[in-house]
Amino acid sequence: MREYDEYQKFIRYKNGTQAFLLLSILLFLNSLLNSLNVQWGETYSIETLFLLEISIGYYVLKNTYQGAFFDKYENPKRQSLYSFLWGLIYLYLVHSPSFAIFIDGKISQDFLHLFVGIICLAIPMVFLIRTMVDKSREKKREMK
Amino acid sequence: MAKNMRLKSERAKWGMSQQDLADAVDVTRQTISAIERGDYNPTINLCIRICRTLDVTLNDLFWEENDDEGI
Repeated sequence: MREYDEYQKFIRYKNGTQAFLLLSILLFLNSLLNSLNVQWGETYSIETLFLLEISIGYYVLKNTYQGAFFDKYENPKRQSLYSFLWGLIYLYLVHSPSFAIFIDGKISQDFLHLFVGIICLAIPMVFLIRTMVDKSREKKREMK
Repeated sequence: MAKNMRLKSERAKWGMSQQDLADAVDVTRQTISAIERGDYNPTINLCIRICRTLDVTLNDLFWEENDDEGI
């Protein structure tokens, strides 16, 4: 069971609310598109899953940037490395000839796997950016 | 929210980094940073743990001086 401190829980609740609102807005917009017979996914379920992935990606990456993704006892560098490796595995699988990201110009289920791989690769990048920002702020504070 | 410079100066008196204080009170470094920046108001339990670690009172660290009027 992950253990987050009170500030991390506060940030996670706030980001969770924002992700939920984002998902609601995206689903509403998609329903408008569907009412106009616009289909951009192979099936309606794939469209819904992709919108869900967008909101989960927002939640995960915002938590990572604000220091609320990894709990107190995890090693963020090691977890970031695992996430990076998972991302590479996902991209390798999507890259193989049997996978089709688009079918008749619409996103397929394999596109969902690609997106998950992109999020897994983004986690360590966001963590690295945040670490650099923190170090830069620390230097500025010490100079004052 | 105003920055908590008293927390930062008390921490510096003990020669502790934000990470050291965070480890001592069982939170993350980001939490201590957010408290010092004034971006987060800690719960009373966390305030007490911080005060015990730095050997100060709650008044010393968390009482806002300009709130004395009218009390």
